[in-house]
Amino acid sequence: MTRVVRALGTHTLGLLELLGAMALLQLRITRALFPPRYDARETWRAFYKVGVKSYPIVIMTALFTGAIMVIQSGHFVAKSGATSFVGWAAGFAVLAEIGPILIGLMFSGRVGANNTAELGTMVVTEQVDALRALAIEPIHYLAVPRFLAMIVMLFLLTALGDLFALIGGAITADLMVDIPMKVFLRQVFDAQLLDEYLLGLLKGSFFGMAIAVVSCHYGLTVRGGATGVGRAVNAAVVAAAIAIFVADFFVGVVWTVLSK
Amino acid sequence: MIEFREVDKAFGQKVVLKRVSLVVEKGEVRFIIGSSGAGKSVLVKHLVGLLRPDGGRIFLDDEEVTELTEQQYYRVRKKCAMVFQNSTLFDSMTLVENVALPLRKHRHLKQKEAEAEAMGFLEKVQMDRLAGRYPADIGDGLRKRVAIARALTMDPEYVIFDEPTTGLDPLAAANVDRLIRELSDVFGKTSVVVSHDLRSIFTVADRIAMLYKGEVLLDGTPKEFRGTSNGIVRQFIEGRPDGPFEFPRIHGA
Amino acid sequence: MSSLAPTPATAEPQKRAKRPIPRQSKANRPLLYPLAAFRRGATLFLETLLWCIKPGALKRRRRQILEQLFVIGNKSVVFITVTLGVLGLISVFQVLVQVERILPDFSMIGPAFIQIMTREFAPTMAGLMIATRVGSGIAAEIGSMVVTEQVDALRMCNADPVDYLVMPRFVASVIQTTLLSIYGCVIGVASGFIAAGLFWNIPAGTFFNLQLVAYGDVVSGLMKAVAYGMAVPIVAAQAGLETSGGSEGVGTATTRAVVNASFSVVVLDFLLSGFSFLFLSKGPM
Repeated sequence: MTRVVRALGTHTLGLLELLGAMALLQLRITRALFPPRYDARETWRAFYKVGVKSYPIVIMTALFTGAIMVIQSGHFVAKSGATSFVGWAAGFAVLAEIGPILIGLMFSGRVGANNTAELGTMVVTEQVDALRALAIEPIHYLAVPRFLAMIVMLFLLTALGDLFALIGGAITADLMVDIPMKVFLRQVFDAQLLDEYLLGLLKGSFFGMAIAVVSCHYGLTVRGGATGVGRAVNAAVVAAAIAIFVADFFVGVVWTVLSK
Repeated sequence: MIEFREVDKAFGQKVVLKRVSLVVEKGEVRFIIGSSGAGKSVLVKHLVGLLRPDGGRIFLDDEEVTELTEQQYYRVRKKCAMVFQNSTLFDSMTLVENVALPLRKHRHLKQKEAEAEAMGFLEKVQMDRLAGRYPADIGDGLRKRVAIARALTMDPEYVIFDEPTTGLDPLAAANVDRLIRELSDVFGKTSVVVSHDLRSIFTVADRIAMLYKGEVLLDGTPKEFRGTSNGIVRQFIEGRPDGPFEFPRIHGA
Repeated sequence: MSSLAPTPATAEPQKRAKRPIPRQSKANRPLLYPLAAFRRGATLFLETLLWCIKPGALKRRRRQILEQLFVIGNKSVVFITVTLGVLGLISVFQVLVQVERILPDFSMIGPAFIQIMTREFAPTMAGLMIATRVGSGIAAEIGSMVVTEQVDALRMCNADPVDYLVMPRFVASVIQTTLLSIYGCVIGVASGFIAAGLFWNIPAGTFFNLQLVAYGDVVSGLMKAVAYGMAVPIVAAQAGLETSGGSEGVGTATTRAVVNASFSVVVLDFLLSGFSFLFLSKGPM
């Protein structure tokens, strides 16, 4: 019994410590955002890498996501015969919830993990110390550009991915559920899902922020050589997935409460 | 002038520095020697604030730097450049971009101007012809030269070398040695060199301090080292496997 | 082996210098890469299956399988509880806010939610989480065994790495993914009810109603769970076995495993959803 309590206590403390460290990192990054004197080259590089690395996988995922959602809402329709419902249901699910989440998870696996590995390698090869020795602040130079790039890029990728999801949905609707593409897209437009689209974009930006902070934290605190880097990447993707769901919850609740 | 006054440092249970006191005079080439794990690198990392002491004080030009915050340390680091053991060039940048980075950050030069100026520094270490290459493309010795060029960009008064010749072939090592000597003789810099390379110790050093088990065992000129009667020092500089020298126990490895 | 291959033009924005040594290039090779990788993955899958059906194979590897069962379960339970719990809460919340405007009647929300959780979200989200949590672990583990030449050492002892390393993980993953999908479904539905009960006072009797859950839904959900359970360890082990470039390569292998395993979950979800839509939902219920 005492062992269980003690284990629980250690875990809780560890979790609190981790959350504290990440909050601190978030704070330091936020403070470094102003005044906006970003390193132009590093920022450009971060944007380029983040965008280029992730957009193929995000678009593929989005296409499939739209298709899956259409099939799933087709299930309901097959029984009730209310075909007009497909556009709304699939559109709603994709734009408000599943699209941002799946895009975010893929982005985290691709960009977040990569970022942790890259920063972690810089830590274990003393490149981060070298920056400090050159009197260059690592948060300012390394974390801030990545932070900005991930927020902006995940926002844009969600915006783009949602459209591809609808295209994937339209193709599937035509081929499998016997709803012509035009009709499906008309349904989606008629459903007036602008609010949901915006909610998804907001979620995307928050996911980007969460992934950035989590992946930078795990990358910059790597210990124990190259095996440490592997471990950190592992921990980072898991933590980022949890962060995505938690952010999803809070953004969703706050949005619905405010828009009521 | 750099002064360490009774500096203590431990990592967990493992005591690395025990009341180490050491003075580095302006313009000299100061060697800190000792076997691997004796705490040499740890000591010099304290000077630029990459590590913080558990006890004792550190002075730089009569200013105490022990208690500075990370922000305040940036000023110190511009005065004391560091050349890391593995050179630690940034993988993602070309050599000239590596050297240009501090120029861009601290002198706020445009990329073009910074790179033009960086070429000048690369010339000093005869690396200008490879400026467009990436660190992974060149050998250790050449990387070291670029790292030295990068350290010089901030016009530091002190340059700290962490094992500059370890892992280099003899010719590359001799080249680096000559560069260190020139920094002092031609450019008037002060160098602190952490090393266990016996050859460079006696060709380059003005004064030497030997760390042993976290303490300064002997502090003097190369001549004094050659003439010492201390058995441990003798064994170390003669490189004999047997003798009174106790090798540090390996922790956790 | 890859050190002579040119880096794809996309890897670096700078134009000035050619860079002969690719750092993390394997994952974004040109178009043919996915095809070749898919073929190697399929080969590995068949090889693993062969090892599984060898007489006495499961019994011989019983210890490793049990160990992996524990490892996978231990790694994933909390993770799946948190993620599917949150997903259940937020989904029901958002849907109810929408439905509130259209229908006065909430009685179908519970059954419909349970149905779609069973058929789609529980296995797929659990699969994605296992791909993240377990897939990255398998890749890291096997990858570091490759770079430290432990895999070669296995070969020298006449132990096939597929039999010895991949097969136990494969079997354990199939079992655990199925169990964890069921568990995730329970968690998701329970937390969905928390949202429904807390904010809309929907009684438990109305919410926990299995009337819509048909035979086809259960089969579809289980089929997906088993398929993900098969795909994730294969994709991850492939990434691990193909690790190159020393210990830094392990990090690359790990990231590749996460993305590839997650993506294969999404693709399988699409294929199996389509399959069950066409063949399972229209039949007799």
